[in-house]
Amino acid sequence: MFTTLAAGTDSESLAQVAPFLYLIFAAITILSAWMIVISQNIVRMAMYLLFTLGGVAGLYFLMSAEFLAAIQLIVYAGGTLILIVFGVMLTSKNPFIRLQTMLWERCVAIGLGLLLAMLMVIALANTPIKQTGTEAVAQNHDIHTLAITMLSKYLVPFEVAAVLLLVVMIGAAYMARRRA
Amino acid sequence: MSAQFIASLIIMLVMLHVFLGSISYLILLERKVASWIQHRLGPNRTGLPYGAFIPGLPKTLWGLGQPIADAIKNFLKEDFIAPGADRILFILAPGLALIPALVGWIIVPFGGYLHLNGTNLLMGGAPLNIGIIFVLATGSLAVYGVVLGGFASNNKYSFLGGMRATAQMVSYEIPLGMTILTIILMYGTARADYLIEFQAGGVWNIIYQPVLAMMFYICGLAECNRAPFDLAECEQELVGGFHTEYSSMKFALFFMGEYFHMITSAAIFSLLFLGGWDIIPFVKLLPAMGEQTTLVWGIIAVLLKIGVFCGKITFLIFLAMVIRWSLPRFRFDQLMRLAWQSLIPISLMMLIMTGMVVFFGLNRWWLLPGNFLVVGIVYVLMPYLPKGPAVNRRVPLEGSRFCPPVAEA
Amino acid sequence: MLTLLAQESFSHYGAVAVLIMMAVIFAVANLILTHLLGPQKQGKIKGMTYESGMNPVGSARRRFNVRFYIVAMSFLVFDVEIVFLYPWATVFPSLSEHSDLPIVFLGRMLFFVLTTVIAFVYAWRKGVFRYD
Repeated sequence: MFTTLAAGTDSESLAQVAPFLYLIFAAITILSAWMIVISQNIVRMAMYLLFTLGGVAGLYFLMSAEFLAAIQLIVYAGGTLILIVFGVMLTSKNPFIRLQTMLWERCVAIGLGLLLAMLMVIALANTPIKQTGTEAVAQNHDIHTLAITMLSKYLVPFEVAAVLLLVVMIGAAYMARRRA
Repeated sequence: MSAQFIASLIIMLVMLHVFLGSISYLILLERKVASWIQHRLGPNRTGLPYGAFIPGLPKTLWGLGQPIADAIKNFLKEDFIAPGADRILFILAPGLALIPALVGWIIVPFGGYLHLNGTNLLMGGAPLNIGIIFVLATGSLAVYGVVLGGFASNNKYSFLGGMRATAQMVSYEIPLGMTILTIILMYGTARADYLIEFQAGGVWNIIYQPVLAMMFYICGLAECNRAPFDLAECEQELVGGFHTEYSSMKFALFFMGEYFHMITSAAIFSLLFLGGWDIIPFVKLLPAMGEQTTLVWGIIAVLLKIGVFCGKITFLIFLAMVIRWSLPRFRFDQLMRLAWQSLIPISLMMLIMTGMVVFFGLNRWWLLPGNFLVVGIVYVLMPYLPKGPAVNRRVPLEGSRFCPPVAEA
Repeated sequence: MLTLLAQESFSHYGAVAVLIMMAVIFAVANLILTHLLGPQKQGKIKGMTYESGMNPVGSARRRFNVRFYIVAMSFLVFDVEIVFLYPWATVFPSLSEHSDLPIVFLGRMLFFVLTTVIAFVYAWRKGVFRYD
């Protein structure tokens, strides 16, 4: 019934816009990530993190990983960030307090950052990047393929994730319990 | 430029402007509905005396000029930023409340498909593969406008309102997601246009899954912060809630965001449960996807479909307005209990029930008894659920009508 | 990397990109216009935090109850679970009936749901969802 899809016939002119969109999203991501680092106000940091996550979701959309992008928005931007904001509100006396960093903290942070960057460069160098056609990509990111792979080939990580969620929930309920 | 892109663009631009224009009139409608229900006249003075030029009409045009006057007034009011507020967040919050609301409805296939030169053009929104999940993704971002607005204002009312709104929106997102998941499970696709095509000319999902439809409507109301779930902005305890300190167009942006969410959730409800652009269930009147039609009839059908869709949206919003002025507001603990202790377990049961029907390959009509089965299970289990202490204790204040008669000394 | 862009889906997302752009422009234009058009007058009393006409007491920025954090935590758990279920829901009805795939997928998914149900029951018994 649905074999005749409303497919684009000539998207050449549209595909030319893609590099600009890529640059825009990358700029949003990097700039707001930078703002997180230099900002001294913890709630503003959370807001910049929102833009970073949104920019990454945009990059996913550009790579036609639609489902991943939606997950990025639902879980990270819509869920984890709320948790972070709540955590901030919960722990600090005044959430709008200015954060001061010591010199040794900066040194440790820079060291850790360099280590992480090195790891990512090594990983990138060791990953074979193929120039794949659009058809292959569309197949690989299909939600059906994702489901079948997740439930057969990557079943163990999938069920471990379930158990992890269970542990998280029980831990949270236990820590904040109001009666024994 | 593909033809689909151009079609999407045209429909998107038209519908965006229709919605933006209709929002101010929805506010007028809301006030009119309130006045009808409360047996008073409502706004009927501001006609920007255009009525005077048209013979036979009242000079004030039943207050139809009110939205225009409101918009002008909002622009001309002082843009007040509280001195204690965090300026960046305070200014950004209304924008963050509006932008996700403006984007989410794009997946709604208003006009169905037009068969043109051998290809099917979707006359409406964008035919995204993730479909409904896209709405959830943008909807989950809607929290930030509220929470940042509440926290930036440096006002206790705003703070409490923002906190409540966040907890509420976050809680109701789960049953909302589960109901959508159940519908996806029924048809095996998340695409909005396919979901409508499956229902069109046949049985609407509200007939298969009435309980699910009710739950979705409740969650939709709660996600939009509409009464009876408008705890974030309840006038009696929190003044204005998260927008207490806001004025001028910033305040209006929050309101536009709320109404856009209403439009989106009404549209999603009608596409999930009411067959989208389908006129009446069981009867096939309009051409389905991929059907050969003449060009003129095809275009007329598309316009009809858009009209029917907008009619359904208007009806659902009208229903939400009647509900708002009929039901009292929930208390916060009742609100959270409704989400966590009723809607989430029931939606889980519905999911498993639907999964079983799909697994055994049964006819979809089995979903209807399945719905009643779930209701029955809940009814049977209810007395055995752990009960908390009675929260709403009556304090026997002396002189109040709850005070037991004091024994004469 | 840019060649990864599947053209069909891009023609679908074109309208979304335009809409996002228009939404941002609309919001920013409104915020700027209302700032320019309205009068601007500051005052000591006017700038006071609104507390129903009383003088403000204490600061509005304070810690809040841990319950809200737990609500956010439980939300995240369920959110992740629903996200994991979406791919399953799209693929489950179209599995062929003659293989043993449907029962296997159903079993694996029921295990997944079961862990969440256990967590949910535990949290309920602990009184996480009680607000009195």
